[in-house]
Amino acid sequence: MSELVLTGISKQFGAVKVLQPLSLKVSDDSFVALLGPSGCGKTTLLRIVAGLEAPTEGELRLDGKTLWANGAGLPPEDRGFGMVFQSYAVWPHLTAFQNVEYPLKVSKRLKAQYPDAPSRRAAVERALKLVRLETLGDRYPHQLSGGQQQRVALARGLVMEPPVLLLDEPLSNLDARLRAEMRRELRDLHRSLGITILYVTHDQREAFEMSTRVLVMEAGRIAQDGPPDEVRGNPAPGFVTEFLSEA
Amino acid sequence: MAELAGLPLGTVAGAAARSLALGTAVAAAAGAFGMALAWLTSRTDLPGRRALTGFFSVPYALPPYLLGMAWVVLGNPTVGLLKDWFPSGGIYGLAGMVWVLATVAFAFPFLELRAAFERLDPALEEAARMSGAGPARVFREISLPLLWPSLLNGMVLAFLFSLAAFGVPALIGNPARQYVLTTLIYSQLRVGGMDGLNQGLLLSLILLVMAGAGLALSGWLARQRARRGGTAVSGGKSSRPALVLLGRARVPAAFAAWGFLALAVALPWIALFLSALAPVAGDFRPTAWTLRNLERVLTMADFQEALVNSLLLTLGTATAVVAAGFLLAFLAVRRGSRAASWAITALGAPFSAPGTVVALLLLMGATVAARAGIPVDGPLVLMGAAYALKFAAGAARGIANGFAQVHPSLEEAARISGARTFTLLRTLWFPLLKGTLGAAWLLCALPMLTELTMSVLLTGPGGATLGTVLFQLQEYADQPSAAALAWMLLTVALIVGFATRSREKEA
Repeated sequence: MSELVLTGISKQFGAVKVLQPLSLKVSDDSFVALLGPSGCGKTTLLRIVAGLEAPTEGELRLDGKTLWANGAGLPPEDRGFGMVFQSYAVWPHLTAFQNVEYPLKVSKRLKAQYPDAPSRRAAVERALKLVRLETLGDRYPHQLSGGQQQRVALARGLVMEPPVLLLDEPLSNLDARLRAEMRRELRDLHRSLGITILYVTHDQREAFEMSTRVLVMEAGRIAQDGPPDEVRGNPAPGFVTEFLSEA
Repeated sequence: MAELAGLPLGTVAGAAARSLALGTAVAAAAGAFGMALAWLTSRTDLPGRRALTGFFSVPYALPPYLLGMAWVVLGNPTVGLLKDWFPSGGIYGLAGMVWVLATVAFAFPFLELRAAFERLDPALEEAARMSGAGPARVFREISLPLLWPSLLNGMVLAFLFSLAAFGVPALIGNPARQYVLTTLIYSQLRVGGMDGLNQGLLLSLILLVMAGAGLALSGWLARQRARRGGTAVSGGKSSRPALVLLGRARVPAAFAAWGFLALAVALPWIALFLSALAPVAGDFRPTAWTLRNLERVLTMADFQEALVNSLLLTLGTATAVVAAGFLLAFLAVRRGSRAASWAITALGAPFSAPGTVVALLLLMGATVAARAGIPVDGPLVLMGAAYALKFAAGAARGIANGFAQVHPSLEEAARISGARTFTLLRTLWFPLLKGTLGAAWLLCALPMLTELTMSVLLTGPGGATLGTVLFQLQEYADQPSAAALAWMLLTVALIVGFATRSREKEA
């Protein structure tokens, strides 16, 4: 059971308040979409969870384990989250297989779980199969299309069997047709694997088609929080109504 | 004993081996310093990293032989200011040459790597952190393999720079009788006559082959890398990279980085300053301080001649080079002229070749011309030609980049308005590229003003420059005057260096 708890998390860059103090519980098996226009603080929130950014104030816990409190916490490499980036961030000097294998070789937790090459190979092949790249493991990123590179990045996150999988605008560099395909696949993966997902996007379609819970963000605040049908059917007056009507 | 054009084979081989060792060691040291400093200033929470980044581009603007003189003041085994801190031979010898050159040459890999870190998508490193790798591992397994081509480029530049260096080996190698190719060429030429010139040409051929081999090796390594698919791509949004928190290492790392800057720039300046005030070499008591050295230099006839010569040469040559570069770049980039592109490419040869080789070929050319009845008048003409050949490619390339960055529609709109080529250059391109042209001019003028390597070979009666006068003062053991002049020049270079240092954009 994974439960991610944020308590009074805020972030300030110099004089600019990017995140107002906010509290949030992400519970097991949910697919939470952080939806909002650019600059609303959704990516900053995700990076704070990841450990790539330090919050100005607040606490962060995972299943009772403290990730951040009192101005100090675990570095990203010790948190065990998987993450998929907008720019794919697949390493150009490693093959698709090596990219996916990397966490199993470097993470303290996973090294113990996969002590030898055969056990790693099996896990990597499973992950590549999940994203339908099982035949392309030997390719280098420059031999793969953008969509395929993004699948490698996804497999690299899935192979870690993370308590929460973090995705930062993973589809916005893909063309419209691929995006539709990936939306379906991500939703199916979430259902079949039962993983917990925190997903940042500015695209309403992504949020409403895949998630089980939508958080609409505005100017560092959560403007509305609820299941997708509720948010779409009954948007909060003001910002959320306006934002949703723009599409 | 075996001989090569009248030189003992052992002497030639020794100098060649020492040149190679010097270039390799400086490249290695510069690579290590440059990489460490580039990583610290790009990816960590090092205190003052913005300011440091600007300061680290300053040594680039300093003539290395001025720093060499400062290190002699510090590390002379008998009268050095800090002689007790050095091994028994003082600063003299190969290790001393490597150190002094590395304090300048680290800037080549540093600047290459800074730019590369900026281009590298931070998500590539962040993805590795998320996979469970600590900062050291991320550096080793992700950053280093991806930045390897930039590191290699910077190290090759450091290698070529050290191979071509003359002042520092002359100041720090010669007293220990450790000659490299450039200093051996100089001493052969001083013997004079056709013999000296021939020996010099032979030695410079070896120097040229070594420089070419370095370039070829790096090109080959880069191609190997590319074949394995290891080219770094950047993409996505340029997010603020997650900084590596140095934690307990933060204070020691800051000490190391700022300390390196102090050692590379501040300490040499202080050494020259104290030495300039000392009545005789080695007497550093504050009570004995005097301005006599400065006064003597300023009233010296040689200095006054050199100042006028250097200023005239620099102003004239830098302006001519930038004007020619402007026209060549315009023709190459905007008119697609093959001849102009070819000329810019061809100028790359003297640009990359050691200055000693360029000067010798010019001397040779002048000798041949004189025999054919065409007298080449005076050392200033030869020096002007040498400076122009040496620095033209850098200027032309910079200006060509400037042309390439402006959208063609600007020129098309002006032509439709009726502007012809000359009007275009005057009313559109010159105002648009003023900044680029100014930067190119400075980039030429700074090294010309204090040029030593080529000037020392081409100088003659009436042809003293700041570099050659300084070198003479040092050679004829008037150390206090030499220090006074070196201190003044270093101060000017530092002011210009700080004023033009690369500034971090506000993120």
